[in-house]
Amino acid sequence: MGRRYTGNGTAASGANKTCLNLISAATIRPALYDLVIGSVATPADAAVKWHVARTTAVGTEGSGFTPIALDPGDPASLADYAVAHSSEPTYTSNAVLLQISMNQRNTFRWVAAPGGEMVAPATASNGLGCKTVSVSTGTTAYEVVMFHEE
Amino acid sequence: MSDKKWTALRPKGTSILSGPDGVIEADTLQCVHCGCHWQVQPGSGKLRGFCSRCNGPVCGPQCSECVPMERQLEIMEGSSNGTEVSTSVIWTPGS
Repeated sequence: MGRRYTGNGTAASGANKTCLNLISAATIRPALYDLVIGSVATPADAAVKWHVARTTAVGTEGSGFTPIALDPGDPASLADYAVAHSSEPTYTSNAVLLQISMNQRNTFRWVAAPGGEMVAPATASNGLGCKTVSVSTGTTAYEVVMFHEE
Repeated sequence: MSDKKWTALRPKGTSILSGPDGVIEADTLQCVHCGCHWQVQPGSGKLRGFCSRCNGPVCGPQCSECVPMERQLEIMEGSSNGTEVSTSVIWTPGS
């Protein structure tokens, strides 16, 4: 098993709004194995469609999130996380790895079975982005938590 | 209470959707070519396939060419080209 790390981010939802982007590096293939999506905003009804998809450029992040090693003895992660983009990452067309439609009141979790991880290529600035594709109403903030190994 | 009705014999993941109305759990399968996941949903009407060369499920007609996930990653990394593909998929509706 590779070294495991976690990162999280909060961002407003909307049409094609990235909440959290796992950015690869030229030396490793980060593998996403756990994903949690939820909102702490005042409960309300809003239908949201989420995509986890491949990215090839990082865009402009509002802030970064340094991955936290689950084992404190591990070195710093080679991959990185980006949060709350002012300029969206570039998504590869037809490369949606997971699609979820849910109500704002829901919390979603996806966990990979061993060997079922979503793997990003070992290419700098490539990665896996988690974004809201469409929202029925409002711009409610959502939290996304990712766990990856590398 | 868990209500895991949508299951697969060899799942590649599990999704859990929890909310005021309860919990919905479903297994996910992974395309052996592009690596995407989908919830197992019998009767969905979506056309899925099975690659007899990779010995695993395929997400749809757009992945009918046998380019294994490892090969696709190498193509993305630029260490392999996308030529020399073949088709070896058996289609199974609604899984």
